[in-house]
Amino acid sequence: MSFDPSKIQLPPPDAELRLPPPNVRELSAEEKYQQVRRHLKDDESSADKMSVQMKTQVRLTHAHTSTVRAAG
Amino acid sequence: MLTPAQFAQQVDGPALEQEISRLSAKGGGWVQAASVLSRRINGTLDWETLGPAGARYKIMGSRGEAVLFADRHDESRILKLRGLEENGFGSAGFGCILGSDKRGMIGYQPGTMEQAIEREELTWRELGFSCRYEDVIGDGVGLLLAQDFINGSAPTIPEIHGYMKLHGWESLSSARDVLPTLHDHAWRRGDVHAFDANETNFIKSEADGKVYPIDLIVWRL
Repeated sequence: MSFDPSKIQLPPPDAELRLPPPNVRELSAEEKYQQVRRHLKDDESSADKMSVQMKTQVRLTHAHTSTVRAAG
Repeated sequence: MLTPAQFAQQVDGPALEQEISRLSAKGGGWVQAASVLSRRINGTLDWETLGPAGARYKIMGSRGEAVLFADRHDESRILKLRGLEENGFGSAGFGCILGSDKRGMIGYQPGTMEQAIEREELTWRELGFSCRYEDVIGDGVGLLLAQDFINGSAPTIPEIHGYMKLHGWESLSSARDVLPTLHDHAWRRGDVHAFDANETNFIKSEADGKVYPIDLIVWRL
């Protein structure tokens, strides 16, 4: 696939969609922020435990840095 | 296409600085998380031109592959910024894809921008819900995707397994050709694989109580 934004169709027209229903109410940016933090275990109740996703970004970045250093 | 400065101007700069300070203050591994976020923004956007408090895009967090922003102009969605390996997005690149290593073990590989789009297309086809294309930043330095924001909470592992089995996926938890660190959250349906199916990549919607995948790594092998 070459990158031509004009040809991108997401979702694909023939895909069978399973979309979530609209939210009962739209959250504000601050409420969303709190939900994302809870989801990533980045709230005050889980201060010592990082979620897999939080750890992953650090690990992936370290892996890349190590590769660059080794190559250099 | 947005230039790095054009996107930066729409980002709430003070909120971003506050988030980096908050993570740094937590200490331990969180300092590294703050460093990753800072590097992702510095490398992908023009930091000098970040917007004022209340600007359109407000930082939500930085996770495995992406930096997340709320869109104050459209509260129904969330934006995902992905970028280059050297800009703090690490070996995920524009988003992990799957591949086999020299020993034939299936694991993650860095994806290009084209492969990130291909993965989204496959995810829509296989799971029925994924991200929409929003824009590209600079000359291929960043990719913006948008996803419907689902108000809800993380489902349990049994609920995730129930969802995957209901839709015909087979667990790869005992597969010998999947890296041991990944196989607990790895699934297959035919030649399509879905990895990283953990609690942080699903949302249980408050509106209907159903489980929705939001960020699985779906790839055909």
